[in-house]
Amino acid sequence: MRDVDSPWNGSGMAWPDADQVVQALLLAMMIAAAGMLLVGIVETLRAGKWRSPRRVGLVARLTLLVILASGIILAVHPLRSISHVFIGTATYLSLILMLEFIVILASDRVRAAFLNEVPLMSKILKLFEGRPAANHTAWSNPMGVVHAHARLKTSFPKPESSPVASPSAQAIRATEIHATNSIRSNPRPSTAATHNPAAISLSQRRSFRRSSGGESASYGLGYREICELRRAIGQVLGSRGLGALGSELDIKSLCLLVKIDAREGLGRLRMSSEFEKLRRLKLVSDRGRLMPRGVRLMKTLKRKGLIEKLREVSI
Amino acid sequence: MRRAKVRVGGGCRGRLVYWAYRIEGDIWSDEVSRLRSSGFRFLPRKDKLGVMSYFLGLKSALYDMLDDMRRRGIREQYLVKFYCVSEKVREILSRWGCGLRDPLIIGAVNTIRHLADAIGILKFTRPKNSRVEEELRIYAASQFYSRVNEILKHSRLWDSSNEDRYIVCSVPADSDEIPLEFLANFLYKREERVLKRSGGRHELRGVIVVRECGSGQSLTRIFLYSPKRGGSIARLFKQFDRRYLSGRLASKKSLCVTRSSSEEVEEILAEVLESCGM
Repeated sequence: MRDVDSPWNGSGMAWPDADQVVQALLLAMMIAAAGMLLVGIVETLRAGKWRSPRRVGLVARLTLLVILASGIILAVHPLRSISHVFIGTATYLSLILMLEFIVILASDRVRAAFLNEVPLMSKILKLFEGRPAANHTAWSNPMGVVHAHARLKTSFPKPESSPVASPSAQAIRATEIHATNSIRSNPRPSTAATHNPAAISLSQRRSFRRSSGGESASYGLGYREICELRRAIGQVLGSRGLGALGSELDIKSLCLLVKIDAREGLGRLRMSSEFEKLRRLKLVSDRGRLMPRGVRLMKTLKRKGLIEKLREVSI
Repeated sequence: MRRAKVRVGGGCRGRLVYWAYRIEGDIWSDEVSRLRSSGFRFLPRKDKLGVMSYFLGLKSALYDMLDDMRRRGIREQYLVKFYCVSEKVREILSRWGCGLRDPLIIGAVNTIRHLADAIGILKFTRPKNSRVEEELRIYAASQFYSRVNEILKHSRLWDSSNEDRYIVCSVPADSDEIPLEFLANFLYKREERVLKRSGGRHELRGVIVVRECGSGQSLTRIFLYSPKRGGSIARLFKQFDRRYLSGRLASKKSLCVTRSSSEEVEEILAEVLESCGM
């Protein structure tokens, strides 16, 4: 029996114990994480100029921070007695969180926005992506398990190189994140393909077809022309060339660049997404004139005689 | 006798002098048509000061008039009325240079006298702000500036950056009657006006004008004009260009002469400006 002097002086008040405080804190953090993720998703899905990437980044970082903080709290003070109310609320909140994670994973746009805004996440993902692609060879087993001793591979006799890359080589692909907020697969040529010129050409053609989106996206330009274009653009833009990782440049944008170079009236094209892409790549200034990089690109294309081919393309 | 009116303007403010004349139709043969012509001339530096510019302008106008007479086969004489903008010009011309010792002025006045004798009679009048004079002034200026605008329309323009930028302009080779310095100055003022009108935060750092001149071997002249003192671009260009020939490098106005073609020069300039981050 508790020693209660008087029911009115506060001595009979039930003070919450440490477990209850921790439970309340955890619930608050889960609510905060769920709310912030929801804000981030809504912010990403909002179309147009109101979308603020900074806000999405802030939300993603805060969510990570909250999860980290709850982990620390649980490590410092493990729960001994768990109330039914806590379990019920936590289950409900975790369901909401899972639902939000499903939305994030399912939508390309949301996923890319979250990954782009938190560079640490994308770096970690790249690290995981890079490993199997680098280690994967024709000698590794079809299940994708990397050989334990990589050096032993050199002592093995080389198998007959086939013009068609093995299905296992095609099966494992590294994902690449494009600035267009979409994730797509990027095949890497297998080592067997690197030794055979026919296989090289075949794999290049395949990658061209995949990256250019078929004949419709290449606007009637042939494979060789596209390859020449890629090479010429790569000389100026480096890693941000045509069809490169994270590049937004496409044939349509190049045709617009040629139009700008020829001092043709842009008119409505100034409001187009292609113009915006060129502007983002610093090929064209805000006023619709070429910038140094654009000038160099145009000179390179002129030197290789590709300007005329691009002029013939109607966009 | 047909009546002609000549006006010479500009000159006193700079190297540019422009002129215009109007020839009235023959009143005895009910000819109402009027013939107008205009021209301009950029004077060498030594002639740009004083009254000499007006004499050179008048000389050019009279040459043009005489050519036109010969071309059309007119044997009639003209009564040429010259609006003297400067009182000193009127004094010298009325005495045909008598009492002057400067051989340049005496030579120009004598040429004017011979041309006037070939055309007809030259009459000097003080400027009266008359309708004809105003019309001639506007006509001469508009013809000149329309030519400048035409050159800039056919030239290749590109920006070095979105922010504090340089504008590079590659003008066609057939525009050598207008000096690069004038084109750069004109372009700078025009772009600055556009920037102010659009309310942009950034300012214009300068203008670079490139022109290829084919005199035997192809030479390209690059004029860099930067009122905010940006002479480093010219110095960097000198280092980047392997076929650099000569130049006058200064902080505000620099001139570079190179054997590279204008296309190559543009590419080098793009590299220079990209490396400077401008």
